[in-house]
Amino acid sequence: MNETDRRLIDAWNDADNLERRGDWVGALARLREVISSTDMGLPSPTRRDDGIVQFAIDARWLALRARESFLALSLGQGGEAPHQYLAMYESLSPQLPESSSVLRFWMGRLRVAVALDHGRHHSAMEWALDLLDVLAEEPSLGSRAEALGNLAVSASGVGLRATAARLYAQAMEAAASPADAAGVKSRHASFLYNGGDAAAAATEYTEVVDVLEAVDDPTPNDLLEIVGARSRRAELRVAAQDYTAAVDDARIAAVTLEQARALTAYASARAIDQLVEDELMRLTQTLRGVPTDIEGLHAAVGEVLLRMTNSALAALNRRETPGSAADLDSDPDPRPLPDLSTSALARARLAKRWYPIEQHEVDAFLHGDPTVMIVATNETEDELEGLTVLVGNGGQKLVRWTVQDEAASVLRDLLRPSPARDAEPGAWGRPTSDPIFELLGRALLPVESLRQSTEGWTHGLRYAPYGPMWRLPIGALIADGEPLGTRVPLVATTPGARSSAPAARALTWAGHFDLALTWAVSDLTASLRRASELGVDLRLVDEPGEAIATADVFLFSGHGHLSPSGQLLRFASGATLSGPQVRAMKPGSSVLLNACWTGTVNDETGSDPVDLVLSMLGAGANSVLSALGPISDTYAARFFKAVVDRLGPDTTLPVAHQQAVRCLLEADPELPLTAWAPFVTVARTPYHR
Amino acid sequence: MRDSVTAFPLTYQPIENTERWDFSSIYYDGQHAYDGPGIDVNDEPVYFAGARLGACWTGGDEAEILDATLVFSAWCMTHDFRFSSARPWLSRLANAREVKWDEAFAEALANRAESVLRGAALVGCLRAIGGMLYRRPNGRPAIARRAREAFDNCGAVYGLADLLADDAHAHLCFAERSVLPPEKSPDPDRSELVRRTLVTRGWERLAAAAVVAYDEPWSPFVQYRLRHELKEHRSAQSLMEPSRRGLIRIIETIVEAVECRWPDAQRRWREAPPRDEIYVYFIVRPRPGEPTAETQEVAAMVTETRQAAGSWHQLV
Repeated sequence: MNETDRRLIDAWNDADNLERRGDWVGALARLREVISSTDMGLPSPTRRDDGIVQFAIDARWLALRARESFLALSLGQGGEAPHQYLAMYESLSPQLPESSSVLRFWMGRLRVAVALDHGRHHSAMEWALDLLDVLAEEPSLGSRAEALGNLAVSASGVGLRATAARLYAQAMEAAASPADAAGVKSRHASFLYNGGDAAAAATEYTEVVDVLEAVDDPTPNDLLEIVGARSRRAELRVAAQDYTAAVDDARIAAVTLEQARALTAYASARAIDQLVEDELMRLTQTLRGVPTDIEGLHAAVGEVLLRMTNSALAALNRRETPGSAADLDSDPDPRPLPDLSTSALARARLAKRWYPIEQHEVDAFLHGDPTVMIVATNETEDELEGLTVLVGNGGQKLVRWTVQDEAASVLRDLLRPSPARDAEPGAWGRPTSDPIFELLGRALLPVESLRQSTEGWTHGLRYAPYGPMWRLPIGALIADGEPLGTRVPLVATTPGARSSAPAARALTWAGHFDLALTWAVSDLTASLRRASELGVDLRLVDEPGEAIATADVFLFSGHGHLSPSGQLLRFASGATLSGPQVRAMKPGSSVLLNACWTGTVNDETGSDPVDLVLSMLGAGANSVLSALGPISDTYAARFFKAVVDRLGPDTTLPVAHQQAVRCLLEADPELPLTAWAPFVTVARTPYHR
Repeated sequence: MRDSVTAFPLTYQPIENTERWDFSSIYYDGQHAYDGPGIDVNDEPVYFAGARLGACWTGGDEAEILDATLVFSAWCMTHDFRFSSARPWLSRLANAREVKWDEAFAEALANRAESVLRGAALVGCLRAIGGMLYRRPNGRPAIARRAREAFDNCGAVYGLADLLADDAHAHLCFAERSVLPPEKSPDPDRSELVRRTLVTRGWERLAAAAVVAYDEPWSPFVQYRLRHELKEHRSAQSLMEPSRRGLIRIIETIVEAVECRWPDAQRRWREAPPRDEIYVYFIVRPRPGEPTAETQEVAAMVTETRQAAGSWHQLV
């Protein structure tokens, strides 16, 4: 046995053990470690004389990647990577007989997960049956209960309800332990709820909670099941107007979530953990339905907020470093401001990973003095308008403010980017000398006096920003139960030298479309086709450099992700956008980044933030539309289609963004936050001309 | 159990690939010409009939098993083009219910099929049910009639060749397997007469199927079927009256003519990348047909006769 074989086997066994202990994150990390450190992978293809392309693939590598992809998908990590792996695999499938039952098992599991993820229940059913076949031959490979449970979920999805009910019963019977059965039961409860039997569903959830909370040594997965069951029971209780119990459920769910995170590998779970974010999102949506006078609501909101915020947000309340912007405030008692560029990042560096804030910090956050979370400004000749979220004093406030005359000029000076831009060496350079970056980096303005002067405009806030989007947390705000975007623009406008130049539907567009996503963006491409019929020169490119240097509108539709080296836009050709390419971009252009994580700050690795959007603005882009986190292909395509449709000679990108959100929410008020909130436009152009 | 649902190897259809063979084009002159309640050939449940059947049997709900079996039968006859795939599951259905495959059971299934399926899928399912009555010559015509009625009412433009080939196959099988040979029969003359009549009618119907196939847009499945029937019933040729054996040669010629029709469609079929699940069943691709002098003559004759007759229904 050579070294590679030994490492593979060790990693595989470790992953087995970790998964058995319910630590899927740990198992995933172990697999990723061996995949990245082992010299295996897809060799270069060879083309035979008859035109057939051949690969010589190590089946073990395929099995490792299949397992890694499945775990990543189950944990909501890796964005589109699991889907991509599957697409790659399927494209090779005529040459892959799947003679290995291990490979067949993991590919089957991945296929079921992907199919269910995409709502393709017939496909899921087919592969769940295949999994049952594999398990009939080799029961030691995995859980029959899981395969039966997935078969039940998919059967229910295609309308075979009687079959689904029987399959759920079989799955519960096949479960190896009460905790496993509880996992199935939880899905069964959802099935009952969809069938209209809310009471039975609540009973099932109660059983799940009772069983799992009685487990002596719960695994992270058990705890997450409890979170799911309590969260859904809370929804049912809100619907039944049993608010006190609902609030209690939500609070305990949030606390349990923290316990799950605290367990071993989950301590390193980062803010990108989609699974956790989804649960938190669900809890906040549930709590939004609870009347404000219900006892315990505040505590529950606090618990949820506690999990939602990250280290940077905690630092907002620490107020360690005075900031120069204090001069702006006419408040006679200016408060010291935190300087996020040092304190939060220093904390992040120390923590290396996601840093959970502590209870006293949240208390300070909720009950302390007002803290300003965001600024969005509109510039006219002699005044600046802004939107500010104040968090503190036992609640949160949304404030709309205006600064006139002298204060406006001071603030404008602060917002104005420096005209000269150094060609700094290195792949990525953050032009920290630019005041706008200082401002956005601080994300905090002392506008208590503004709050007082605009008391009449203050709206109550029911939902606070969370997660890694602290820098520009505009997207997730809801004022008075109404999404923010319906009343005020969802844009952070940063007035600058080109404030009078509209980002018109330009003469030259360049776009990149990852073919793997084409199925999801077909509507969007139809819009672009229509744009090209209107005389727009539309080019599809695989290499970023030339496109970004020449296009008036640059639309990237593909994959974006965070890595220790920064934010990456990955092209189908394998190329990524480099710093020099960004700095060479066409001045005054509009950029639409339809890719995950393009608008965020990369602070979870503890390295210095690399801000793609700010770099683009700094390089001369007029406006950049980006995503603050992971986005769903379907919703993103719908959203970008709405934006592209609205871009016109007289419509700037921020305005198109605002109109698109309004239109989407008007068409479907129940649209989930993930369909519109993750997107943010940062622009030099004001939305009023 | 699962292996018998998919007796063929799984094809690993890419999960994201939504582009599929348009089966409705084989039956309709356009997409879903017949609209109504129920499931038709291009509907999702038919594509995944095997998975539905597997899930229903695993679950064990009687009513849903019945419906899934009917949908699966429709799939077998309209997509798989093989009755032999449907037969084990239709048998299993009867065994599970502890009933025999008789006229009453077939009628009950046909009634249920009419409420679950529509269009060409219903025709296919009824053909499968009729096929189960191969040892019951008294019950089969009733189901065959229902299939024919369903065909007439469903808006299908093509597919009559299949129904005629079914009929031909039934006659020839009955003559070959179910009628006692004269040497074993107590009444050899009558036995001989019955066999000859059945065989002659069988070949006449196959001739009709070939003629209809010539007129319809080329379909690889019909072509396969016609060749297959000629091959399968080779032994029945000797049962024909010697004076009428020339009919078989005529059928062969028409089938050859069918293979020469629609050269563009055949070329596309041959050159299509082997991504479609259909290739699993039809490993041998059709040979490119070059029209010979004889096939050209038959083609001209067929066209002429068709024009004189006014419609294929009259000719048949």
